Amino acid sequence: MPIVRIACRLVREHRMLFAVYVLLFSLLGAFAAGSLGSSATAAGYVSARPTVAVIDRDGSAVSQELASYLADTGEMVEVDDTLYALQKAAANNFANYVLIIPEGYGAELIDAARAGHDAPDLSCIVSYMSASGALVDQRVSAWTQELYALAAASDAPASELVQMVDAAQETGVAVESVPTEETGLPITYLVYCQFALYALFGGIAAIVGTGLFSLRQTEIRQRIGVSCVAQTHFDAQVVGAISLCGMAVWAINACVGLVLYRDALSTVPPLFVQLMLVILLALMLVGMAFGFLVWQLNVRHELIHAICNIAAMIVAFLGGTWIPLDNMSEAVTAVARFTPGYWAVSGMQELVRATSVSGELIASVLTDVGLVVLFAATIAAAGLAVGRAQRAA
Amino acid sequence: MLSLIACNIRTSLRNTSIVIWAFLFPLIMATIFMTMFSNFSSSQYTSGIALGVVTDTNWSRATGLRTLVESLSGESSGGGTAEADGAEKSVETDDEALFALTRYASSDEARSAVLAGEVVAYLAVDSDGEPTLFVSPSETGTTSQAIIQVVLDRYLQGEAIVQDLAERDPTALAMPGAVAALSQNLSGSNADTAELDLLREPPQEMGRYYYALLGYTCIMCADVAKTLIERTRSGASALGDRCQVSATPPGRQLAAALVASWLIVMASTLTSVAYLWLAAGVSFGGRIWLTPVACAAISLVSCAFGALIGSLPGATPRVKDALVTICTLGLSLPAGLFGEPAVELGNWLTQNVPLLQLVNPATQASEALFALTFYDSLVPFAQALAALVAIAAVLAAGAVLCMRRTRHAYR
Repeated sequence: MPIVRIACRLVREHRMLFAVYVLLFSLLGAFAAGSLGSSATAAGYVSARPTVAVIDRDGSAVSQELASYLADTGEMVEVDDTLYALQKAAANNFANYVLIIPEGYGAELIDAARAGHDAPDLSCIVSYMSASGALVDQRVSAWTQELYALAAASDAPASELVQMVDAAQETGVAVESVPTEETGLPITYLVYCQFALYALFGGIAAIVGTGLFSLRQTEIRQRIGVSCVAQTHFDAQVVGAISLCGMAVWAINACVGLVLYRDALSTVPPLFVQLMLVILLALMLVGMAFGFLVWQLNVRHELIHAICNIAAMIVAFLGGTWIPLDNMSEAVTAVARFTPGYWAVSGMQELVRATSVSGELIASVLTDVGLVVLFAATIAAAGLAVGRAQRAA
Repeated sequence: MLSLIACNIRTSLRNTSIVIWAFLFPLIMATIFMTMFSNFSSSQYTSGIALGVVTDTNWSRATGLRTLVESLSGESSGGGTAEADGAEKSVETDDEALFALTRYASSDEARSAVLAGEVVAYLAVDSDGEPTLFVSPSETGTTSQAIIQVVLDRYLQGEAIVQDLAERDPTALAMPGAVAALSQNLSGSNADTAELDLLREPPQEMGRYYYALLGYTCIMCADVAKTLIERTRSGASALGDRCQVSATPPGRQLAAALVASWLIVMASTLTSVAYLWLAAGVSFGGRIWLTPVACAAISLVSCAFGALIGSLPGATPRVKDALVTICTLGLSLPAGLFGEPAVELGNWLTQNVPLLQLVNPATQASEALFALTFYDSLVPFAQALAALVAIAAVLAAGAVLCMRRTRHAYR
């Protein structure tokens, strides 16, 4: 197996690419999963807690209690009361919602309620995360409207009315998680595996394309051509080297994931984890096939990284790795169906939503895996065709 | 000198790698962003939230709750009762309504639907008239679920407030019609909020990626200066050895290489900005005339960074290539190029470790054009430019140290 040894040595010489594509993107996936916080993994229900900033220019009992209520239901962020600070908070989404309570608001609300007028408006600034902003706005409106209604009905002092509103906040609808036979894979592990898509597709392709580049050089091909190695054996050994490279990337990525999420994964059926690893293995096959195609195309050295990175970015985007596909237009979703990332992520999401180990689930996930493998087979066939055409030329 | 600069520019533009990474890659990425985010909306959850209800006899008896939920679904009053057979999508709904209601005849059907992700939650009422919201264990704590929760909480709190007031201050509700007035006020909208529009341009979630892309381009274009410096440095390449023994002083060769690389990177960033402005519709706050200033500072940092890497003593070309790649990916991450988590990381660093963001050229390059677009004052823009120039000065000083006269003694 001399060619396999040579190919493996060539790939080993590009170990920096493993560090960049495999470890860096594995860590990026882990960080992305970590940024989801505890709410996504908690067994019980935890209501969404958007980031909120309060600029209290009033300082009354009403404004202080309103700020306290928002602190209980969201994550408070400090924002200075200057135009630049407010602009920066809104443009960068430092706070999903900034509430500005004007001077004298508390007294004016009580007076307006008792006089039968509308209360003065509170000012707010909503960042581009308008859904989270709408949630906080609903909470603020509900709280102030309750105070308004109480002030209109009772002559009690503001401090007492505020206490009644606060007491009312303890009442709420019961929220329960639907009981299930089994728990699906944690969202954090899903995010990690979604980010693995870049390493398994673009990373393997770049490592294979760059590592085996010298085997495509004319002088080396001529020397191999006059050696006793038959063309079919040469091709088979190159495929073997590509497989070893792919398996190495898959194993590194899988091991990092299993180590990082061992606690969360210990509570789910092992079959779910195994199916996830099978999905990643199918993605590895696509990466290998794409690397083989790039290698067969015999493009310039500097083009290999460009092709692999641009292709990986497109596949990762269309797979919903960086931005959820739910937020994109139907046209983009329709195009995404023609990429392997979409089907791989679809299978991953089924494992997250899984409620029991069933034949139906396994069949569904394996169907997605089959589609991904078909993509790999198609790309590999294209690579073979390109290689044959080049040899004929 | 001019002919040296022209020669450097010509040879650089014949280099496929430089053309791809400095000119084509940013345009390709911008085109991908434009296509993918053409109809992107981060506000989709503020209307049409998929809510399921179990339409059993308990639901029919909960008149107040049913009326509230149906009205928020944009349905005509009185529609949809317990006779719903199986999962039935509500009809006559308003597209802008808060909820998109789906009725289920039994809890089992509703449970299956929520687990399959067809609805974000389902509502069931028990025999005591108490509502319970059920969510999928794999998708809990979403904004949509919280919005449903707030609406239902407000309804239940209204009842609690009436009871509490009746206990604390019976005289308040003694007057005829007082309870009705209180209920009406509780469900009214007399104490509202008004949204302020402070920014020069409306903020867009996807807009961040365009600015981050310019930061990415800034670091990636360091490859231009790195390549040209390698060509003029003794020991860095065979061409460099030949150039060093030529009649042209090394200092002049280096200056020509740096000026040429600055011009190439300037052209690259200007092309990217022009493409974003003309094709992607990024307005830059109506201050497009100031973008060349930002591009000049970005190009300066890019050249200084490339010069430092190109002149690193003892580093092989492969190591230098890897350094550029790692720095491009690593420094672009806090600038927010790689999706929502990267944006969150950038925000966290800005708020907690601002110094780290201040010395990151990719972040400052993004920030300069970002500030131009959104902020009224030009001070943040000027601060970002000053940071870029300072970073360039430090990197250039490092490059000068690496490029100082070297004695290649024979051993």
